Amino acid sequence: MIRFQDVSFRYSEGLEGFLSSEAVLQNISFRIAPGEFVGLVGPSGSGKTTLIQHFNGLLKPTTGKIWVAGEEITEKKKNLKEIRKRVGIIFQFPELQFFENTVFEEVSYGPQNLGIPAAEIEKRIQKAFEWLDMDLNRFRRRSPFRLSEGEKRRVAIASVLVMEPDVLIFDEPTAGLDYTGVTLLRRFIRNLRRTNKTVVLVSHDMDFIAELVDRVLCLKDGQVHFDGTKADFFANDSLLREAKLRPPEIVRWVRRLRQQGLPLSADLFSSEELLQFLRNLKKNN
Amino acid sequence: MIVVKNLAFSYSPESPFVFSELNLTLKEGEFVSFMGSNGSGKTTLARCLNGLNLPSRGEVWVDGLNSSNPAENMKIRARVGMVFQNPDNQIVSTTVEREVAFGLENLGIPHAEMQPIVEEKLRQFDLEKYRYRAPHTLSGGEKQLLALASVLAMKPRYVIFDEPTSLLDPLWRERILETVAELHKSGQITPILITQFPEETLQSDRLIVLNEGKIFLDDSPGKIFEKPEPLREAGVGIPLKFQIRSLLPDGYRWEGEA
Repeated sequence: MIRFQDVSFRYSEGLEGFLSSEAVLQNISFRIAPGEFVGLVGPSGSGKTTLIQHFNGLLKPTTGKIWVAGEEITEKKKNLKEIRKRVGIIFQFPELQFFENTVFEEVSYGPQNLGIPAAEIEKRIQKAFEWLDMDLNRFRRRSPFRLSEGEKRRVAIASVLVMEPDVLIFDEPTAGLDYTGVTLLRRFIRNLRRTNKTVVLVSHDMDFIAELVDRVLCLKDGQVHFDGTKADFFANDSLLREAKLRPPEIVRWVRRLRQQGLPLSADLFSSEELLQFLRNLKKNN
Repeated sequence: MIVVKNLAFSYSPESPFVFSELNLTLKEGEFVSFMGSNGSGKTTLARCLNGLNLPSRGEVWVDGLNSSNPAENMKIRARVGMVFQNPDNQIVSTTVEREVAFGLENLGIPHAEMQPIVEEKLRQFDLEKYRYRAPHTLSGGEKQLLALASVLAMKPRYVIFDEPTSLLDPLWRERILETVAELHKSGQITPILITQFPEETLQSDRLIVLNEGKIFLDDSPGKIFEKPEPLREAGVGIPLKFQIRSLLPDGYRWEGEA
């Protein structure tokens, strides 16, 4: 689905070059298969946001090549409109980009621009709101600016979903959300498994990453520090420490309870599953 | 001591009351955390405590100063500092050094008195090396430290931290929280922490959960997290540790950090 080959990026000299003349990204190579769920992690300043801006051509690599769905998007004079339909990026605080008067207008803006017929737009919006556990009729005429933080975030996600992208990229989607907002978002991303969408999740919240993805790509100083299964990543404390990360709380608890002899699988990454296991244990005792 | 008496507040005469009859006493030296879902009134209350929001009815008293009295209101703002979620919203100067001096200049402190305070704060927060840098070139965590240094330069008695870690990576999150705890332990400030992360409240003496503009729970965090039902009702999470504790069979250890 997505392939990076030897991608390096530096800001052009003279612009921000005088602040950071080093490459922001250095020789990055990886492939992501359709339907994969990948967590992109690393300390602040490691290049995560810069990297995801390459996924749909918002930034162009200084050297190296990128393919999306078999097409090389780094070719000169490439029309990126098609690519941007296929790769949807939900940036941190996407609601800051709202500008329409009603939720419906806000969400239909993108597909309308693509010339999609009204009936089809309506259908897509219905579907997106269903996925997000939101009652469209309740929100349709409301101002997007007057929603709660969690609702705003979900409306922003809906406006990307209606473009029907194959790849969804979330940049710190939980930032600023309350418990209910995070719980709904977690459920939504988990349910995306039932589609064949490819998901890339950028987050500082290691428990959120551990629960939702299969594979972790860790950046450090603009380079790939680790690329592999989450089980391998979170089991390796020194790897985490080098990337200034800590193991997720769930991983620390599972480790500790296993040491005390509880028959828990080391592959348990969801706190809900751990609590369910303990509940069953209690019931059977 | 901060005393809130029968506080009612709405942003305009047409909009609904965020609080209608709120009473609260915060003691100096007591580390208090606030939790509550988005829209529960946490930030609105915080802005009432430092005089940015004025009561529609009722009173807010800070160490005997009334926030509704214009002359005393200015003193309250210097006495109750505020650190926000996004430091970009409070940083205004062109260099790190000037940023630390900014609040003092506003208070009309003479330059000769100001300079040693600025130096001390730059040193305390390890910002000397960035003295002449533009604040926007710092990382998110460094900017948050700068915001804190600038607030502390004004020697507030109380500092309200409004979700100060929600944009930071884990390491910076820990560092900021440790800094808050140290400032409390050394008696430099009385911290008031607003957060969405239940684990962050465990270091405080007292936790207040707001729900729909009312004080819903008010006790030590340990006591509050023992009972999950009311927290669920308020839309507030529980630290995993406490959830595990309630389910763990006898003979297994849950205390301390996993």
